[in-house]
Amino acid sequence: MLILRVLEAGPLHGYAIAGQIHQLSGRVLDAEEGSLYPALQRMLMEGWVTAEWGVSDTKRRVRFYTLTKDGLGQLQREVQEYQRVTLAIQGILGTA
Amino acid sequence: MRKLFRRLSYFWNRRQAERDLADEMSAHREQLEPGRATAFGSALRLREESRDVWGFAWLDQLSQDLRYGVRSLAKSRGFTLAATLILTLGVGLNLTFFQLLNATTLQPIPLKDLATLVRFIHRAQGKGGNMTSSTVWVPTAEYVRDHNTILSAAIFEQTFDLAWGEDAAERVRASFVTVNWFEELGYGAALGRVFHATVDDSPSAAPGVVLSDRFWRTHLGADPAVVGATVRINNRPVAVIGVAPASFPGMRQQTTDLWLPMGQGVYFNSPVTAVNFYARVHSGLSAAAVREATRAPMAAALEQGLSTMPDSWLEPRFGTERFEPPNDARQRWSIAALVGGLTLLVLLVACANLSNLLLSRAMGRVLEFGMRTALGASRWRIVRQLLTECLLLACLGTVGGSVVAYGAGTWISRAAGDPMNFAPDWRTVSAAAGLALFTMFAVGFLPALKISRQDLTVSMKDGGQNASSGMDRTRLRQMLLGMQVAGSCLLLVLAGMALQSLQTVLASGPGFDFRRFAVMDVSLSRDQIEGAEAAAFWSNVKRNLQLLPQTESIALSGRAPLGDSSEMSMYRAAPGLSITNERVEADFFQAMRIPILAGRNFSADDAQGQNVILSRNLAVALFGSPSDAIGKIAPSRETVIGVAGDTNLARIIDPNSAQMYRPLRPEDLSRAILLVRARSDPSPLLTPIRQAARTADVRVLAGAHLMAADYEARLTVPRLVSNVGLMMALLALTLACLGVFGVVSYGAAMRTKEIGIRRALGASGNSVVAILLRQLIWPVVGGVVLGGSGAAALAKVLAGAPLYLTAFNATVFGFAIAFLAVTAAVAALLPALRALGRDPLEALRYE
Repeated sequence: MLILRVLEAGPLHGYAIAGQIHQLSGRVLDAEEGSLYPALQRMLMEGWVTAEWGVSDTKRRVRFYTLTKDGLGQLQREVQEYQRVTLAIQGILGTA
Repeated sequence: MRKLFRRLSYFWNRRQAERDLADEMSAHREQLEPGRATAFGSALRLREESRDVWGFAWLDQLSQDLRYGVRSLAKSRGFTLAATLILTLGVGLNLTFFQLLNATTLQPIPLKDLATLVRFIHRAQGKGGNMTSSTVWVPTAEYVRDHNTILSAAIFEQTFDLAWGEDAAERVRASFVTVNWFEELGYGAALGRVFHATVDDSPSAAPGVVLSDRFWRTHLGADPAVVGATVRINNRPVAVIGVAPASFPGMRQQTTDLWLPMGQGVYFNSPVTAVNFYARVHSGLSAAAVREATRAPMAAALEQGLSTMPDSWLEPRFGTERFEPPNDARQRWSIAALVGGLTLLVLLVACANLSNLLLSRAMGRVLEFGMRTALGASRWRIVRQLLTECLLLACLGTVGGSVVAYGAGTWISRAAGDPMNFAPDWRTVSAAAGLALFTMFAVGFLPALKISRQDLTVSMKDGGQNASSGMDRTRLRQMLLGMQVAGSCLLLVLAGMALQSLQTVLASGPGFDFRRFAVMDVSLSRDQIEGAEAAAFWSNVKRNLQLLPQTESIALSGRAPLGDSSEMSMYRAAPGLSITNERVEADFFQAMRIPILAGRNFSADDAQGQNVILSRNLAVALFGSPSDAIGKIAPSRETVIGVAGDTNLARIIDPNSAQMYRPLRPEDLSRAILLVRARSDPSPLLTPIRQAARTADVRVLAGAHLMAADYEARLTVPRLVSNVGLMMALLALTLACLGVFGVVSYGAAMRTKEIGIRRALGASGNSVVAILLRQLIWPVVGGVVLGGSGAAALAKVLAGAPLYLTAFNATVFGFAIAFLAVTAAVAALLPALRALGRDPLEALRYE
């Protein structure tokens, strides 16, 4: 979900995605950065993103990932689901 | 769908994908700040995870499993060979059966538009009497063809035996057909042309013949230049106009050699009188609708004198039902179910055996799997390894089974004289693969699960012996063995019954010395020789043949004993007896050496009377004893004047065959055939017989054959049944013996230590063998009881038509069980004695 959310703004390469998540989350989410790649491969398989080789700002050959229509739909679904669960949890916490 | 596509494209470009991923990861790592170099994680592991996502990790593992499986199978050649053999035989047998079923029952007859193609059976029921006739009188058939609302075409056929060749020495089976025959059935010519309405339909048309592919090959050397050539049929010249395709099935079970247009019947001295009536009905009509629609034209035909039977109709039998009444289909299905059940039983025995074999093998590999588990293999991976090996075996079994099925099918179709095509096509090969796979996984799954459930690391410590001895105690192995014994016992008893029934038939024969007889086939009515002329012909022939030194006696009969046509009746007063109606002259009984047990033989005065002679069994069934029957009125309202000895003139394998003899009337003479009894070998009589007919009347073309040939033809099916049965039984027995052998030798191997200790403590050899054999008692006894009672139940079903396996008796039973016991004992003793022969100290040294 996080990756899809980051990609919603536009095509990004792997390092940039990791950096974005790192930054946006205020350095709270600090997972193994490499695990990004298996996740990206899965999304490629599902057809949520597409990949294309390009050149980065630092003049490196990197792969840019772009969100597809399917991916956008998936993001919306996941966000909704997340909100539903969060609301539920908040509800329980509130009554407790 | 698109996902699958993407996955496949990744699979094709996997090297590229791997490289891309590696490049990408290294780029990422290079950009990391020096302090956070470890934040990326293990690139190797992550790449592995990605590969999982692409979905070909399993493929990698499969190819590993396959390579390893091939190596391990190649290493234990004995096991591989045994398993492949078992699978080959089991699958091959079932496949053979499937093919036979497919060819005879499942596949529709390959004719055009079967749904609208019918065969009409002439039936009548009412005041005029009841009747069922497979043929229809030509004037009736033609009237119905021209006056009906339901038919779009009528197709007639009548079959004759005609003389072939310059010397007219050979009989060939010829079908006179309407000229629309080939066109309506959906076949053209393979060579030349078939009949055309415009060319061949007038009686003045030049005579032409279409040959069957088989006849063209066997008699004309498959010469393509034969079209246009002139051949001689019934001593008349006729041009060959074409050759039918090899695939043309014709309409009947028997093979037709050639086809002639119906209009040419007179030219060949074979006027067509009554035909097999096939027709195209308008589509969508039900059987009842067709039947009712035939009543009116049939009644009109009767009124105009074109039919003789009141209250009659034409009963349609549809091509989609193989032109058969539903009863026949049901009977065939029940036979198919029975045979199919037996072949499945063999497969089951094979399965039990294989399962045993795999279990033993898996136990032997406890060490190997323990090692793999210790190195980190998951339980699922071990199971998969075992199943992969099953897959390999299944492949071998598929190939073997297909080959066996092809061979067996060809053999059967040759033995049955029915040309069927058994070349393996994709259907049979996939059926074989399905069977083999199913078998292998059915039997392979259990051992695989069992071994994986073991605590393999613990079992390693003991070299595999402890862990497996625990499993050995399970009943599974014994149950499997019991099943094998039961299956082979059942099949052995059945095969014994088939064999014994055949032996009985062979030993008792048909009740007369058929080997001494030659038969003159002739049809005087075809040459319009009737009445006094026929009588003169016969006395001339008889005189000529009597002069020959080889001739012992001569008799006229309405039909050839053991020949292919016979008229059967059944009477309620004599249940169970199928009675053939014979018309014979008085000399018949003397020539056939059939004794007159009571009463008298026919005399010249009987020819017009209402007198019959019964066979002994019929007389006993009706009146109690032969002498009581004389002078009584038979159920056919005729007077019994004599009782003759029992014979079997029609169906030699049917023990319930009885006869009713009536004298030959003058009008029967033109349809009679002549039986000639030789003093020794009748073969030298064949040529003089043909010549005698020619001398007596130059128009007559007679054929001659040995009665022994008819006898052999009648035995084809019982021989086939007993051979196939025996083959299946031996197969099952071999499998069961392998099972016994395996269980005992495996038991011995697992208990090497125990035996060693016992021996060292002074146990006698006998007691050790007894220990090893004790585990066999229950499976073998249970199996024999189960199989035997199964056979007893089946014996009732098989005693009737069409197999007449009557020999269900103690001898067969005892012999089958003794045979089973002896072979099982040998199979058990061999490994037991071998275990005994081992030095006990040698066995213990491993401790």
